[in-house]
Amino acid sequence: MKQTLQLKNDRREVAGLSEWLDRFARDHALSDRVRGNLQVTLEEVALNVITHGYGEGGEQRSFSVTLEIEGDFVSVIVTDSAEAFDPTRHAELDTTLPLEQRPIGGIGIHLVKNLMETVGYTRSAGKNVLTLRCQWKDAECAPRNETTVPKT
Amino acid sequence: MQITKSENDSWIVLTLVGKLDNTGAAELEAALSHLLTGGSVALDFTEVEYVTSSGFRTLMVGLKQQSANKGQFVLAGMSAPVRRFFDIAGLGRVFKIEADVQTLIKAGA
Repeated sequence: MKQTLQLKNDRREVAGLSEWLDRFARDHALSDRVRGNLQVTLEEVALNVITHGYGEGGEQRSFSVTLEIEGDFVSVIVTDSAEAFDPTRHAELDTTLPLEQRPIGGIGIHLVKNLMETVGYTRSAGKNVLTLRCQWKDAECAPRNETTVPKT
Repeated sequence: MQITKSENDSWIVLTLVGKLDNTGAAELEAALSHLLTGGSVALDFTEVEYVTSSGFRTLMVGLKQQSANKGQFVLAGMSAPVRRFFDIAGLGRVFKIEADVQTLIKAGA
């Protein structure tokens, strides 16, 4: 049931990650909605490690992504050995700002927090371990507190 | 991502099929590169599977550039799950999102 993919610090790796995730979704008959939520989340987390955690070019480094079905949940574990970085402590995105003042960054981690049911972080043996859980049965990775959309 | 360009009256329509992810965003950026000079640009989202933050980044750049050039940048035909990504990102009301491309073109500018 458990599957692990090793990735390098090169952003072209995310295409392979996406195909691997599609196969996992097909093998476990996950809905398109759950697959989409996982795809958006995994690309974000992987690109974060590749571009911010490790940086591209230079020394080749690797990190792993593990997918597993655990009861009603899909669990995702991303382990890298970059500097400690806890995305759960990242500042909240202000979605009420008008476009001109909107920072281009920050959307990704905001999506991750809202698409996954739980996002957990630990620093263990010099590694960042990010654990994400997403409900696949009976629905979507429904966020408990959906972001309210500002009225314009 | 598969991108097809067509012209309807005054609209330039890009029909997007597949994933608007990191790879798709680079392809869309290339397709948009000569189109963001004002005028009316519509993106048909009917066959888009999902949008990652790389995709949103490209769309935001497109909207900003079109706004600066007094042009239009409209997204159309979005499925409910894809629309939900926009709402979570807080961009559901930042972009002009229409029900479908046909209605948009019929309505004129």
